[in-house]
Amino acid sequence: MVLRRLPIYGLLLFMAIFSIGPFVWMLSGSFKKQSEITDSGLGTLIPKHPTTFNYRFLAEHVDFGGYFVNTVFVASMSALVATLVSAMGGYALAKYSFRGKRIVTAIALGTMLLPPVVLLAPLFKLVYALHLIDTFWALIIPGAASGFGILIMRQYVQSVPNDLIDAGRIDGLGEFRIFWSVVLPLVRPILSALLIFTFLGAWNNYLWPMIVLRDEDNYLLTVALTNVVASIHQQEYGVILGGTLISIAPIIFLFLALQREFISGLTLGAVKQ
Amino acid sequence: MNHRRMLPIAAPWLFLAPFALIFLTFTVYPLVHSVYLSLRQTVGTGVDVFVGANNFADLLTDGLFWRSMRRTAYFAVGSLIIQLPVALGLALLVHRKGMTGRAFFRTAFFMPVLVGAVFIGVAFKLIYGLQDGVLNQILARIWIPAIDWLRGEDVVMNTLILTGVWMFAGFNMVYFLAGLQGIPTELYEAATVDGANTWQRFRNVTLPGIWPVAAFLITASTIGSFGLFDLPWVLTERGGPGEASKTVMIYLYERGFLTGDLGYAAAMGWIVTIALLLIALLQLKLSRAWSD
Repeated sequence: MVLRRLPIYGLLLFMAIFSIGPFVWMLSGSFKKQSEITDSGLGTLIPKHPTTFNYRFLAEHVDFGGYFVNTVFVASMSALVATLVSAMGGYALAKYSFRGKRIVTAIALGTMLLPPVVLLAPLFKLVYALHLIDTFWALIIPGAASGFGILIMRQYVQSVPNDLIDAGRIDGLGEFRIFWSVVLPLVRPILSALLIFTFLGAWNNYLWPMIVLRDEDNYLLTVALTNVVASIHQQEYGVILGGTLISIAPIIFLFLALQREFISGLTLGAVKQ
Repeated sequence: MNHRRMLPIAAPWLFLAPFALIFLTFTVYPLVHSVYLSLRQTVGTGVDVFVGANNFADLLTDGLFWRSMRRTAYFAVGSLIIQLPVALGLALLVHRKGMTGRAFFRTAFFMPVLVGAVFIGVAFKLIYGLQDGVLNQILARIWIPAIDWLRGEDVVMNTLILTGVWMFAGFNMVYFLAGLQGIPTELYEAATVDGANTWQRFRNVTLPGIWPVAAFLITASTIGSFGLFDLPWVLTERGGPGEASKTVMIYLYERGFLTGDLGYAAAMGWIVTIALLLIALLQLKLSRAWSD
């Protein structure tokens, strides 16, 4: 049975090598001495004299650790704030009836079609006027209210039986308590999907952080890698690869641990599972 | 009325408040403001003049703008033509009954999706380098002459498309997989009973079955392609060489933030948005027409 399938497996394996290859190559390149790279290029897979010089360089000369911490903070906060804001808003749209509900839903829907770049210029002026330039809040807050987030939360919260909510009220639970302890646990899959989706987007975000952040100490990994590492040290290939690897490693590890949540998070809404 | 009874009435607004506040401040207001901006000119310090529809008129005759639109459209179409069949092919291969290692392949193909375009741009510069690049070194070993992936004016857009395939094939594949899993096996059995061969089964059962997924991917991919900024900015260095890979968004950014003409950039943004809206509507109409 397997023998008949061999050509298919072979083809798939070949494509998989294409897919994973660059990661493996990055890993090996990050352990190569600069001298080995200039001599035999980056084409060999196993370094002849593996070294941790590149990583030590990043830690000591470039303060890469600082950029890493910045990015972890911004990405985590973005995910938490956005998910909470969307969950609360989606709950309001799903389980309450109030005037203006249709308008809110329509506007949220409309903004989903916008490419974010349209808002870049006026958003920058606004952030500048609010004295939020060069702060992490300028990165966390604006993206927290997305039409996509609130609508997807509304869709999932709608499936929570109203009886449970009413039961909570009869039991004397406060409205927020009902939201937090009754409704949220029931939509846990979409919550984790939204968290991951937002976390990933914030981690990889480049243009807006580049525009907003001024002080080098505040840079995120995306901005630091291009504006600091790849520009000042552009001939240090091993350092560049090491920096790239550090930047993507956490995401890869998270993915390997939470594959199902990742895939559902990134394919939200379009396909009914 | 005591405190307890008032809450349910105020509750929806309290729950909506954080979202509404942030949304109105940071999405709706900038949206409205960008319409206002598009009617003004702001080049030069302290300049802020109402110019009416001049920005839009200038855009119509702006060669750079239209060239960048054409380039971006080339990327969008090229990406679609390659990515969708590749992704569908992978999905079909992985989907077959009793395939062991399906999870492994799904993981392997999905990994590139997670990597931000910036990180890919930085690392792949070393892959695509003319003399030092790994790709050319590998090609040399099979006697294929080196290609100037990053600096060849005719090559750069294709380099971007190729990189895009690596980045997103897995994403599209996962969608197609889900779509394939949604096709009832009875349909295939019925087709086989009716004497359909493999190709006929594919054409009459598989294709219609995954059409909703494909339609979504086409629209999402097109919208995403027009927002392309990070990859050409980093990989081919600001849309280089010259303007060979300057996408619409790169041009918008340069005119808006580097030159300082935020009004012109805003007008550009609106033209692109309207274009995308029209394309999305067109795709919606076409997909409805085809599925009938």
